[in-house]
Amino acid sequence: MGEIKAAWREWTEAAEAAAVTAAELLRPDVKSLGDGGCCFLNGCAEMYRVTGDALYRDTVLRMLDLAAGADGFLPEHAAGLGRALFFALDETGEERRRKAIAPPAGPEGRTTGALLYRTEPFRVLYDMRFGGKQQAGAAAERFRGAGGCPRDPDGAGWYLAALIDCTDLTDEQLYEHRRALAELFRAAAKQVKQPDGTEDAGNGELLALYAALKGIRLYLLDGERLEGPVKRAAGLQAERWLKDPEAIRRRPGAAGPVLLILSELLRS
Amino acid sequence: MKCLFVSCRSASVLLREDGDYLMPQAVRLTLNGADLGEESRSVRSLYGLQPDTEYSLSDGEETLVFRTEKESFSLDVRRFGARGDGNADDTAALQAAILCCPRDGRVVVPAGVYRTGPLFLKSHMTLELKEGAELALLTDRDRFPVLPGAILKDGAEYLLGTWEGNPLDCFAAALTGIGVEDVRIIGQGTVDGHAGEGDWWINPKIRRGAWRGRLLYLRDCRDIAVQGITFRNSPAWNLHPCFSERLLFCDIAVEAPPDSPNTDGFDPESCRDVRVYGARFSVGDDCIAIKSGKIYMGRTYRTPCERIEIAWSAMLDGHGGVTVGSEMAGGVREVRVHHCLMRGNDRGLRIKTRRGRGKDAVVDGITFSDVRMDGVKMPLVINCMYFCDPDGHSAWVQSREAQPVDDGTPTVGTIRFERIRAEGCQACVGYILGLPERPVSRVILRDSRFSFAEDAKALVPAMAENVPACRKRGVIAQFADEVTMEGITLEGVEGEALEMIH
Repeated sequence: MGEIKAAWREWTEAAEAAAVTAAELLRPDVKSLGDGGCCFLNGCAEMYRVTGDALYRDTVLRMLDLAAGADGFLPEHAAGLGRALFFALDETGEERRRKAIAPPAGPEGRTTGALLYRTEPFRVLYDMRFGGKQQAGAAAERFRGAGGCPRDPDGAGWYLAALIDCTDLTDEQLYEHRRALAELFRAAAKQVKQPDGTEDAGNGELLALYAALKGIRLYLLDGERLEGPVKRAAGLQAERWLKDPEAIRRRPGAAGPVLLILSELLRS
Repeated sequence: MKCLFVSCRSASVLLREDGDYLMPQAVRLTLNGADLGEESRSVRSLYGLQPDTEYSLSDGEETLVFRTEKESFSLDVRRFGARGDGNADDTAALQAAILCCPRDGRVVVPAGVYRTGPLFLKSHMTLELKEGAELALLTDRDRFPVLPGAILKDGAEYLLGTWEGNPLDCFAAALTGIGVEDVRIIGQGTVDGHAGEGDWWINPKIRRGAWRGRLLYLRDCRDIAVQGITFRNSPAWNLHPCFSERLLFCDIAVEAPPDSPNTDGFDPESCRDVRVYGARFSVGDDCIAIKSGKIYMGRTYRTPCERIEIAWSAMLDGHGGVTVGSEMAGGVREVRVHHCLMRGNDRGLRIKTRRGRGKDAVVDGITFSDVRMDGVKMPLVINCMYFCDPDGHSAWVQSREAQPVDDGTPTVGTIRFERIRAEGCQACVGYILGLPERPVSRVILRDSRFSFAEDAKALVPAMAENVPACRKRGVIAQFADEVTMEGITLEGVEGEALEMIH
């Protein structure tokens, strides 16, 4: 996908600008732990991992400080920021970042795709890092208990992104648990129609593209069949958001999914 | 005398079956009347033979007549461009010779040092490493192809790579066989992984690119014989056949530094009909570890490792002489270890399992007989609470309270220890830790003699929580249905010969 790399040279500044814009507009959302804000921090973290561009790292750190209370701690229900907190800990090594990571809690039973996205990957990450990997089988159970992949395209995208991230975060040596998540993802991905890139996609639909790209990269989806169309659609969507300086201003919640898509395109 | 193996250019013969790795006394051999000198090992190999030719081997009292196999063509790797000078990368030339080998042909690697990346075997061929020939594995992992763990398609999967019982991406082995049959790897040459010169043994539990490769890896293979070769310095396990059958390893040597990580000597996994004769191991981990996968593999494929015979071999140093597990979710059964010498191992027979391994994780029919142990600290250890895996230390795995028997409960059936001569033991003769909800069924020790080292140290016999160190003890058993000791002599034991803990 040389064209993606070539396009990235044009997109670099646009992506940074989008991140700056989104960071400003999503401040209230991060503070209120909204879906868009949480996803945005994950997008910035992934972009930093891929590009090494300090702007993304600093954005995550700054916004986490913004979200914290005067005592430096986040609200107990801040699972949506959990992955960003681990990112901040890894980047800074600061004790206050470690202390900010509270044991995760989340809903059991039927819930929404967006809520799964906020809570489940953090739960898995927490278990892998701090929990002794003793709850590795619980994630798949919770996805099953959540009532399966939502039928609406937006909810389905959040659901797929949560699943693929949980799969990726599970230690591969806990193979049976990782495989269970992977099989849930593969089954769900078959049911979801990906946006083709010609029309504006909702945030969840953008996440579905991100999940598909990641699923292909992890060899969970048929790359031979899907890689071309998914990358084309993802590239078109990324371009749509980055070429229009006002697009993110109109819908800042799309910044996170777009950055996640970009990070996957750059990894390919 | 008995012929154990014959190829087109070599043979291996069992000279006496009543010794162990060594015979009670050396014999002088002649081959077609020509003097071969004295031999003290029980298994003797012969090289440089001509194909389709009758030979007569004599030890002065008995004569064995055998005929070598036919050979179609012989390909010298130097004609394919291999240099063998220790500098050139000979990978392509060696691989070309293998791929060009006609059916029933032989690829010959003459004396020299051949720097090479992983080579892939082909069916119906013989690969001969002549005396002085070394396949010197490259140390740059970027030069190693990756074997994907699982390739998925519509509910089906094709497994290639593996790491510690799971289908995970791993680097190809120095010699890799995927779905091949009727292959012989013979000769007095060496396969050297040179792992200490690269980064394989640095942070070994961290995956970098893929999991570490082996020196010989066979998957879905059958009728494979390896004779005479010395394997040393593997990145990880040395010899790893899995899901393969009818395998013979004869008169091989496997060597690795004592502090090298995970350098098990020989790890058959979910294989059947495996024979190891006259082999010598001195490695950094277990000499032989018999396995059948972790939970996913055990539950999905339910393929035990079975009908394994290990005889006239030497396990010199290494953690375990023969170990079963801990990846044994598919079960391990019908293992016979006889006429072997174990020297300096931590444990002679070691069975490792734990709650969660699964209902197919059945270990049964393991027999040790006519084994000489010299300085083996603990001859027999059965541990059903082995603290492996991320949750190995959890209360559930380590609980001495009975847990519900479920799909995760493993089973240890009958284990026999017969005619064992063990000197220089330290901690105990045997340590058996079953599960309260599923005790070890039956352990039989018969007609054996055990003595302790004067300066025996107190050691923890099993890697489980709350197992105290002990010294000069007999057999300690907890959660075992039946432990039978007949004709047992214990010299220097402190305490009861058999301590059943309830």
